[in-house]
Amino acid sequence: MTRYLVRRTITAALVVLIVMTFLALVVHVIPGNIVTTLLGAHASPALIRQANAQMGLDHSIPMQVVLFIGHAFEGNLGTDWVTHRPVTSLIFTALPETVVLAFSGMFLAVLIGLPLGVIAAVRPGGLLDKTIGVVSVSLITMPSYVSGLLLILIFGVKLRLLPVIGSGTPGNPIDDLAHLVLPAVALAIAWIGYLARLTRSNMLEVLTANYVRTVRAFGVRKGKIFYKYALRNAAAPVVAVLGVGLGNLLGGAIFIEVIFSRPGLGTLLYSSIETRNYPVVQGCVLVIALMLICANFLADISYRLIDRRIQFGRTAAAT
Amino acid sequence: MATVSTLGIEDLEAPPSRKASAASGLMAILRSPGGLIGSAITLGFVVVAVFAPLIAPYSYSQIDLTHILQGPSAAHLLGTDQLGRDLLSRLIFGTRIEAIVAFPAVGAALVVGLVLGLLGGYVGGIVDNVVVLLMDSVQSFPAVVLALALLALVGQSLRNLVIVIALAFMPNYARVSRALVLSVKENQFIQAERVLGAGRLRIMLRHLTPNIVAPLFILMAMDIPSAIATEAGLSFLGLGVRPPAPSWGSILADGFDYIYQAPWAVLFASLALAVTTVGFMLLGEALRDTLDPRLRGVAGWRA
Repeated sequence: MTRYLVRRTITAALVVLIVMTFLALVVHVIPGNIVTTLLGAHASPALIRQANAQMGLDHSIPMQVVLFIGHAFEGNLGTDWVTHRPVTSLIFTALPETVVLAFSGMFLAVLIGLPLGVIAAVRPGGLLDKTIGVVSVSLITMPSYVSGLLLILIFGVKLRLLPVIGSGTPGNPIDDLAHLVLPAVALAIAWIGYLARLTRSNMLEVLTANYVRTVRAFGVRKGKIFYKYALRNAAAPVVAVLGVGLGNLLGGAIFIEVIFSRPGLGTLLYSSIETRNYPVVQGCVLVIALMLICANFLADISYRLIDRRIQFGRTAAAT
Repeated sequence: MATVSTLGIEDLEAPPSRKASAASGLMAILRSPGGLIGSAITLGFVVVAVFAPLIAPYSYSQIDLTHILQGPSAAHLLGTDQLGRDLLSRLIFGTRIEAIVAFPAVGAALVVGLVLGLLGGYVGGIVDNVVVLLMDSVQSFPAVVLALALLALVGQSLRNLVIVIALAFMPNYARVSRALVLSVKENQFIQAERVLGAGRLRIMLRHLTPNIVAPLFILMAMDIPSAIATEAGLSFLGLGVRPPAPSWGSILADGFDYIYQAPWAVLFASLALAVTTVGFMLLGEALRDTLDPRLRGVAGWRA
């Protein structure tokens, strides 16, 4: 375990460094010079020099990478091109909103998807199983923005039941919650389908295992076998999936935040792309990538802790 | 058939005599309800994309300001948008946009991923470490975020859209082909080739590639709906194709602006996306189940 931990930590650290290098260099991908693109062809040389200095572009390219990484570790992601506020403070105001949204979505998905999978596994091939199967296939492929738009159409435009704009008035938890419902459901929909299918197939696999047969031979009731012995092992892979799924969820959250006009990392990224506010774009993308790297790291490790049968050091690749 | 298993790759369920297996495989796919529905939807999508100008009742950019934001009628089966353009025609031409972005993007992802996987898996050593690390790094960005940020930098165009989506989808192909190479390269026929003096390049292209390409095609079938969803999502955010080109995403975005006056656009464009993605996924799953059940868990939905 220790060896695996060390190796996994080193890879994660290397990935962080590569990601940072990439983000530091990415401004050079732009055709032409980024500063003249931003300021226009007629900007005075003094202004251009000042802008170059502000974005750290007056250093040599390797130095830019080193400085970017160094500053990032100090928690300094540069300054907003438009408002001149530090990017870090912008991100830390937005981040909690996105985290709340992502976790509510994940929570709903587990809350609904897991039981659906278990119910489907009770009588494989039965009517209930088939219905849940069809529903989950249709849900899985639903892009988050389609779910979001359809929910707005039904609950906001037709029924006018729930608010569809913003994140509620500050200091009013009930209003906050009302504003959170539709976005969280929109984010959860694809995952409900996915988790239902995953849980179903895991349950069916576990139920054929020897230990379940043994427990059954001892005369334990079917319900107890199901919930006490099978479900625990069937739920383990869900942990790993949720870790990997965070990226997927964060990607979806961008659309959801934009559609529902909620403040958050997604809206910040989107609006900074629209205004070509590159330091903010860099910062947002970096924070999202860091969250994903952490989540994958934790998922890999906890997966191995929950299910001891997985050999340490063996990569869970396609083989 | 028997020769395949003596080579020690029975677990790959390599295609036996090709023609016979193609026919029986197709039958197997069409026999399952999911496969049948999936094939029908996919076929429909391709036909509509190819014959769009013949099927569409109007042009996708024909503006008629006297008939804006109308509901479905005999003249406009699905209604019109805020410029009076026929929604049905725009959706039909949109099929084309989705197809010319999604197919090349996923195809390019497969080719580049395959090359990297071959290099990593067969050459090994430091090359392998570099490939794995790079793929890990690319995958630490959600596909949409990576595509969004890059498009903002390089500027939006159809070509850039394809490149960016290909880049975001490529790591999965590199991973899977690398893993397959690792298992196939231990076979005796590869070692025999090497003893006979075949070079690395020849072994990779003539012997490894044909043996690992089938699972990659299945992966491709399952990635096409994700690529379509990614394209439509980027266009929805205004970073995909430029107007008046009718991507399903831009139709959704236009419809969203007028959702209270004319909810039809959002409804129909959503349906088009939902039906298409479900269709491709059902076909992909049927393909996987008949050709290579081992891929369960590797090939799956993401976007």
